[in-house]
Amino acid sequence: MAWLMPDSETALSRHAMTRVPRWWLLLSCVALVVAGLVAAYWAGSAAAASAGPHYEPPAEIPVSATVQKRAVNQQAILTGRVVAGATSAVRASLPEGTDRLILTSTPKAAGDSVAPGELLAVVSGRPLLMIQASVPLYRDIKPGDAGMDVQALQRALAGLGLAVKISGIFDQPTQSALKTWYGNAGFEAPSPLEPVSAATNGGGKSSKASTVMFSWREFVQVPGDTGRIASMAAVGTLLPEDGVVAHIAIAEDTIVARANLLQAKDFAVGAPATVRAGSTSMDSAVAAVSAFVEGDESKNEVPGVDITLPIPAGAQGLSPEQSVTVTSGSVPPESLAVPLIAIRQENGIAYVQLSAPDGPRRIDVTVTAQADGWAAIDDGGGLAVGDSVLLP
Amino acid sequence: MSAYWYSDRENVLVNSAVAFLVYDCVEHAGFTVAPWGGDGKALQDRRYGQWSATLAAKNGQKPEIRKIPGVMPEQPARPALSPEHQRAETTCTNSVGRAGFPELLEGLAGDLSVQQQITQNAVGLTEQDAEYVAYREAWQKCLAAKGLKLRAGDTWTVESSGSKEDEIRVALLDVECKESSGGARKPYDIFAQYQAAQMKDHQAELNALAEQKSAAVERARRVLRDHGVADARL
Repeated sequence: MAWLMPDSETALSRHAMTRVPRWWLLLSCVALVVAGLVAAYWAGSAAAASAGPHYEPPAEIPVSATVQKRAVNQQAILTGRVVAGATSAVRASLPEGTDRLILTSTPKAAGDSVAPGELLAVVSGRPLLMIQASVPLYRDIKPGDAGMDVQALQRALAGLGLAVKISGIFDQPTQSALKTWYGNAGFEAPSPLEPVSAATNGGGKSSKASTVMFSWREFVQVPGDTGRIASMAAVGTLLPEDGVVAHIAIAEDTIVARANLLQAKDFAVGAPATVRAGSTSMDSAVAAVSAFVEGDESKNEVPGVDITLPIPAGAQGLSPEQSVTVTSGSVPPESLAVPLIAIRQENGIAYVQLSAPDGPRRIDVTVTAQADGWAAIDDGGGLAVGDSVLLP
Repeated sequence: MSAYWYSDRENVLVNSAVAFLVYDCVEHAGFTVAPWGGDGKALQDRRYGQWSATLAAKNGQKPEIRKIPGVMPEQPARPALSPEHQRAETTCTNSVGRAGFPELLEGLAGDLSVQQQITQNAVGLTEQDAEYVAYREAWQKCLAAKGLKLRAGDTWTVESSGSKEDEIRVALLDVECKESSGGARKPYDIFAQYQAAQMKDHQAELNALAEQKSAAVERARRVLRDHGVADARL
């Protein structure tokens, strides 16, 4: 029964609205309020005065940078690797009367160069001699045999400085030259099993002992005739069934790096480049640029071209598959340079604020290059090394 | 505006949370669901075409795509599902929907949110801006001088023969023309100015959106934690 409850709000209002008949009480209140305000103002002023010096906005502290001489150039950097040069396998054939191929001895070791005329190895007691690749090795050549292969053999012997006439017939002088070659290598040239008549042998005595034959199995070849031994079987080991004695590197190792089409502009054939591997750094030049390669995202290969560089002569510490970096160009020349943020622009004109005793002075500049946060500027702009330029 | 849309990572978290909630429903229906690894993708902003010479040399006209790591380890391919299982998944996908998570992704069709309107307005204003128009004309003139044409119906893609090599070479010339016309980022800068001006006018709504987004991401994290996802992946 709400209407039975005492109406407290109405009762309070009635009580507040009751006027107080004492006029002096009002005057006292007004005087108290005014006094309070004055006291508050005085206290505030005193506190502010004792708080220390007056607040002033901080003065702008000029930040400057020094004009320097430094090389500023954007150089493209590629990641590459050392790619092993092509190799050619050298195989031995089973000599007559032997059952197994054993590397008996060798005067060569990995890293040695090889050339026609040299003894590469001795397998199961018989020599393996390096001969020019132009000689077709497909048959044994016996005294009196003739043909293009004999002619090629004669040329090869002549190329080794041995006295021989290019007749196309495996005659006595050719045999003598061959004997000399074998002799120089420490071996006797093989003789034909059947005696040879004097007429067949181009004159002289009919004797088996005085004649020699060319046993093609005792000669080996490599494309290009020269190379470097990449690997060699150990002396005393049984050679594998395919008879491989050694692998000859016939092309030098190279450095190959993929450049995207933007970077490729800096790697034209002949362009200088710096190759770095660990702490090693060497100068090289681009030898070849491949056709466009699509790349393979799954292998993290970007589309672009493959840049090939030779390994500089005498370079140490690079082995196949090793990672390298290839940087375009040689070290750029030094020029005046300022931090890039010091360059300001107005109506398309670049300038810097030179810090001078009588205040900042505007110097218009021409930016010639920018890289790594630095701008190279034209030397003729009125700036010198050591000048201070203001940073915004 | 990126503060008001899910980042790529946040989007993966929210989507993964929704997926777990769908799978709860599927499991409740009596089926077992192989957990989903998740593997989001982020596209390079190319509203005004390719703008980076470095990315053009790598991708041609295509946008840069990067993988956002999922919240679960890589999962094997899911085996073929039985028709009943498929039905259960469809039912649960429909019933769970977005599980109350707001769609805070730029460019969703039919999105009438304030941030979407701001973007659309900024695009419209940019395209009428005198500086932008001059920039675009200079760019097109440069392309024409190099013998290049715009793809029909596409305002920012330059035509190429179709081979990867040609696409990259064309994309590099495209960026070169943008640089010579005032900078490849110019349209984006103009766009950003219009966007910023409008954001001021809608700051209160945007603040509410930012809070909504934070709450959604936090909820997604809770859902994922409840489903055994390690904190390191959140």
